[in-house]
Amino acid sequence: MIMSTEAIIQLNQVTKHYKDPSSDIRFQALRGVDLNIKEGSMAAIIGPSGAGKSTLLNILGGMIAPSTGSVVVDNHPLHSLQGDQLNQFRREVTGFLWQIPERNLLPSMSALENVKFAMEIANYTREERDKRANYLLHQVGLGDRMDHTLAKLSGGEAQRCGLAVALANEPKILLADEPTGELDSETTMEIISYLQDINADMGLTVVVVTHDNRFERMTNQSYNILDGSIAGMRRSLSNTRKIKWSDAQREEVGVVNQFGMVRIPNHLREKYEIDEFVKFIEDEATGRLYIVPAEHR
Amino acid sequence: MCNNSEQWLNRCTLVVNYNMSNNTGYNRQNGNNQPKPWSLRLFILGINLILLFLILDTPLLQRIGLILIGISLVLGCISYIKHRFNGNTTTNDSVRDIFPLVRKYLKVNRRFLLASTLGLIIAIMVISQIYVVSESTTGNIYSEIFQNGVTPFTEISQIGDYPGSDVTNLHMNRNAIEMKYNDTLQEYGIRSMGMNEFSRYYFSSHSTDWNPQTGAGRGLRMRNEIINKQEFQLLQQFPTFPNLDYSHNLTLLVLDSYRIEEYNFTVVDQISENHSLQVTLEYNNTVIDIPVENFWLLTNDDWSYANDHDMRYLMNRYEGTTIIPNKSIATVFNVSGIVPSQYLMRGYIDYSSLVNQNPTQILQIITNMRNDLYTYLDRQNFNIRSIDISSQVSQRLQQAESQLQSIKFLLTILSVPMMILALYLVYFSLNLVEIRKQKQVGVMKVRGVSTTQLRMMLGAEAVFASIIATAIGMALSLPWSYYIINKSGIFASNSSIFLPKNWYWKMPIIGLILTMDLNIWSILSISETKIEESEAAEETKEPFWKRFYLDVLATIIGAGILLTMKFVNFDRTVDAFFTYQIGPIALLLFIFGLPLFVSRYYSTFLTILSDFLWKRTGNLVALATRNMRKNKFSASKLAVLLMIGMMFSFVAISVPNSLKSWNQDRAHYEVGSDFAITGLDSTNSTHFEPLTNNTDITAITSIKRITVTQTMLGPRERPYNNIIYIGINSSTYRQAAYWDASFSTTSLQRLMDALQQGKVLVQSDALDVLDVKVGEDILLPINRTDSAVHNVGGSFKYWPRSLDHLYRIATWVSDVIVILPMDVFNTDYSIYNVSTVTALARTSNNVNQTAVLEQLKEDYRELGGQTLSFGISSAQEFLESYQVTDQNRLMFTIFDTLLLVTAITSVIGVGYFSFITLSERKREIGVFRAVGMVSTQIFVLLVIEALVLALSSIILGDLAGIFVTDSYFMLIGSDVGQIPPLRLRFNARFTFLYSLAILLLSIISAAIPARITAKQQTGSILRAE
Repeated sequence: MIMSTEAIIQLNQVTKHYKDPSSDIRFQALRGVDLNIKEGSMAAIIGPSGAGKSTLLNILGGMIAPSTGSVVVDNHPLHSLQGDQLNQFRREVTGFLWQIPERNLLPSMSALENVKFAMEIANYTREERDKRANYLLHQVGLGDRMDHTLAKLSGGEAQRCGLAVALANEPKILLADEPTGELDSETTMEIISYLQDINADMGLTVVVVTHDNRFERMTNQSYNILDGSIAGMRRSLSNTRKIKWSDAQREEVGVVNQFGMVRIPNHLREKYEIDEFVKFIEDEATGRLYIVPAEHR
Repeated sequence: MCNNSEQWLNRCTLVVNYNMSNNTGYNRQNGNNQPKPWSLRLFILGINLILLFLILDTPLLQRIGLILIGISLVLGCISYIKHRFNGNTTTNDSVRDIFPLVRKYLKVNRRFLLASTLGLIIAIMVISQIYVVSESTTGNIYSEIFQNGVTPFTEISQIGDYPGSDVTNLHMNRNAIEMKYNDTLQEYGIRSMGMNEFSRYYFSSHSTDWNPQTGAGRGLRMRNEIINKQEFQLLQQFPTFPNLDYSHNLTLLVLDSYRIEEYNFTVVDQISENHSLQVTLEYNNTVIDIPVENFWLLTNDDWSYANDHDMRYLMNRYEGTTIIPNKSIATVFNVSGIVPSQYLMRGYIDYSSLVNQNPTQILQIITNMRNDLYTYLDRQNFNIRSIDISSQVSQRLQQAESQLQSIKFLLTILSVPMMILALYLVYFSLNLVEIRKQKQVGVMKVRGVSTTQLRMMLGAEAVFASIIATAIGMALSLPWSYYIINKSGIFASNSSIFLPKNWYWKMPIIGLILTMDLNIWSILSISETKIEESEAAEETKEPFWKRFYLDVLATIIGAGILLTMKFVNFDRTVDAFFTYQIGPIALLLFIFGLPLFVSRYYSTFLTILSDFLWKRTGNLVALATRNMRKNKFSASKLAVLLMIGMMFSFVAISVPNSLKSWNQDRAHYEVGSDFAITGLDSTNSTHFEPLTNNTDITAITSIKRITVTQTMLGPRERPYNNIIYIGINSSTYRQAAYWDASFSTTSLQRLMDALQQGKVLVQSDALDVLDVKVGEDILLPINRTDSAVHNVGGSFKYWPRSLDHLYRIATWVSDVIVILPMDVFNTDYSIYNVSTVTALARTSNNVNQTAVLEQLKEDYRELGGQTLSFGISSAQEFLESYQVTDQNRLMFTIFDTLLLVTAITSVIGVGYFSFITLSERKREIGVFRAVGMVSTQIFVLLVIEALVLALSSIILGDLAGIFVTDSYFMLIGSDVGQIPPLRLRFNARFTFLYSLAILLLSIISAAIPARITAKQQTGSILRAE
């Protein structure tokens, strides 16, 4: 895959395997993932539980390192950064939003203090912290709940507060791991709406990991991840800045890996009765390649 | 398409090549936990040596510690330079920017701060009390030596030697002097003449010249005394002793006027024009003028016949002084050929400026002065081998110094258990919160907090805790020290607290070092926390002792050796080897191994218990033990804390009780019964009347004892010091004499039966070396030429009133003890004409022993009259004579405080554990509420958890305490030690009550957070974390 110069996130053949200490069994969470996400886009990584979504997002956030492969985010080669370099990367480049509010917020601090704390780490001045914290909390609709601690916020409010914390240090990329996993439908749509506004207004690159298919229609690109590899992608053909998400035209594309393998979506397989074999038919006149089912011989 | 494929393939190749050339994607199999740098390890080791130096005052530790710190700093600098040279950038976190973060962190983690603080307060308190009690003891002893309120000056007096008989004479004379002239002396403000010892020079019979080379008759003796300020001020007017560094050192010479007359001296004293004194001596027509600063006081050596006129004349003449200085020793000896007799010389040191210095320093000054004097005298060609410069003050100070050293050693050793408890409490608390802190740190790391920022926050927390703990610990140590000093009764009256100057800076440094020790690895570990816990879990390594089961080995080996020593009989040599060489190591192995062993297996115990209860009952208790498995590792550590505390407490309870019982055993062993009366004539029945007539006496028996010395005995004909024969009356002995089951493996009744059959009883150790067994015949010497054959009817280890010393020697049997029936004794051993017997009398319980003793004394005094005297001893008197020493009193007092410290650490440990763990179990509690449990049931459930934990730990601690104490007594009171041996005797009632108190306190401290948790509303719990 060619590295796009416009891509803010570039993954090339990233693998990740774990070893269970008690059973000594190794398992591979990611198997050669290639991914390019353009700057300013809103991308979703969708897949069932255990597909490797969170692992992928944690690698993008610099929280774990890949076993093999290269990860370049905003020109930072994460696979070779260590220690405080990663800390600085997380501080300046990414904002992270977890599924569970307890992982986003310090429970004994109020909403305002949580947002300010993130900026204290990044050495913002007191004036800047006060101003920005107020602004962000108002932006996410918590202007009247700034002094409340986590215990006194509802689930949606806590998640919005987490969003404000993630945006506190003006990151270039917002990474969200199942941000609506514990929320009801209405609140989910609110969060999605916030994310869209952030993407549209601030030009922030947003990458959301989710199992919620509703995100598919809300993003520029949505990658399907299955068994640790990218199975397919749906992308918006329209400029979603100009029209509504729901009206955007989308196409489904197959992802070809370095070995030339591509995954045919299940619904197409069923529709066209593609069994074990396919054959390739070249149309040199039109310069197209057709894939058709092939019979057993 | 082919082109595209080719291009695609080419690009893939490029990508592959790119990856291979830039293959920095690394395998995270083993994680990247940073190994702890050696510079840091050396630094920690160095500061710990400094800590030991501050506590133990050993300069070598300080030197080594500073060297290690220096090396670590150098290594650290090299490492830092290499790190920068390699282009590694560091974050730009400025100290100023970190302050707000630290403040925020401390505010957020107030409850975690408690973990570091409480245990550290106790540890600082314990260490501080060692200092304060030691220094206060020094100060109080110092005050006693120098008599509170009196300015301490010292006088070095009397350079000279003296033969013994003269000393006695002169001492008596001194008393006469003081008695006769006491009022006059006091009138002139002189409290002590210090003329206790006079010296005499003696000459060889053929020479009247003093020969310094041979030193014939020439010796010097110097003595110290304490005099009061007035005397010293008087003496300050006199010229100083030359060639020495002590400006107030003076000499005083006293001549014996009697001798002067004997040798035809004439003393002429005149007042010269400048009102100074001049003394002229004439001897054999030799005239010596002693200059004004070198004049002599004439005294009469036999003061009991002193001439009043002489004394008063002198005192009036010299305006009330009776002392006159001599400038130098040389002058003394210059005139010694003329004045060959007694003289007195004194040297004085003014150390009023040294009042605040400790006895060690004063001792050093006195030692320096003595050394200077020796040097001076040596230069003057005196034979210094015949010179003895002694100092009573220094002797007293040296005694005080030894006393102080033993007190300080005892204090330190006895404080070690309390320090272990306190520091373990801190370690446990920090461990408890470490996991909780890691979650917070995970959140912070997601936001990009740097390692430096994290370490600054965590370090600031530790330092803050250290400051608070040190201040509070130092303050609390003062009343505690006051209690120890006054309760232990080392000093007769109410004693004061003395604070050393260096206490103010030593304790904060100690606090800081302890804090670093306890926190540094935790800080490093937490700051390197991985955001994904799963990665952290896979990279955790067990400590090496756990991997190699060192704890299990230590516990089993230690226990095995001690049990073997207890139940297997070895011969004396092997027994001594085990007792002195192996036993102490085994005990230490057990003491250190057991807590680690419990820590490893307590969680297994909980699992087994919960499975068992769950299958059998399934009730609240079963549920409680089930729930405990969630925090089983923290529970294991808490169990160890409680167990250690109970173990030490058991020792503290049982040692004083055992010592008291042992004193009673010793007293009875020495006397043989409640009373023993010696010198009775067995043929004279009136001698027994005071005993038979006394209604408080319930049983009487008589024994005879002889010692046959330096005989050869046995097949190997080994020489023994003594064979001690004791004849007893087997029909009355059992009722009257003192006996303990440990004295023989055979019962006393059976031993008496054997004696009634005409057999003898032989000490068991002797049987081994005599190569004879019970039931066999033995040839026993009656005297140096005759022997008698007896059948051995039994053996014993100890027999009361048999030995003069209460100690058994390790490697050989020096005394053989044989018990004979009285009629056999009288028949075969009558050659010794032992007609006097000792009567042993036993009283009934609860009798006033003192009253009985007084009655017996009166009766026997009346019986004996002027001609006979009987020896009467009572076990009560012996018991009173075993006075509790200062060290024992101090030990008992510290043991009392150990009980208190155990209670406090137990309460804190259990309370904190409950507080921290319950705050994280809200969801679990919410589920309980959601399924229908009411708050009371939840409260009971939580309390049962604490109860199971505390009860199991207390039982384990008590059992461990029994084993440790019994083993300790076995080692120190074994067959090669004291007779009778020291044994474990614990007060079961008190032990039970104390254990119950600890259990109740632990439950109460757990009940408070349990109550708070149980009362929370279901909704808020389920919504919360």
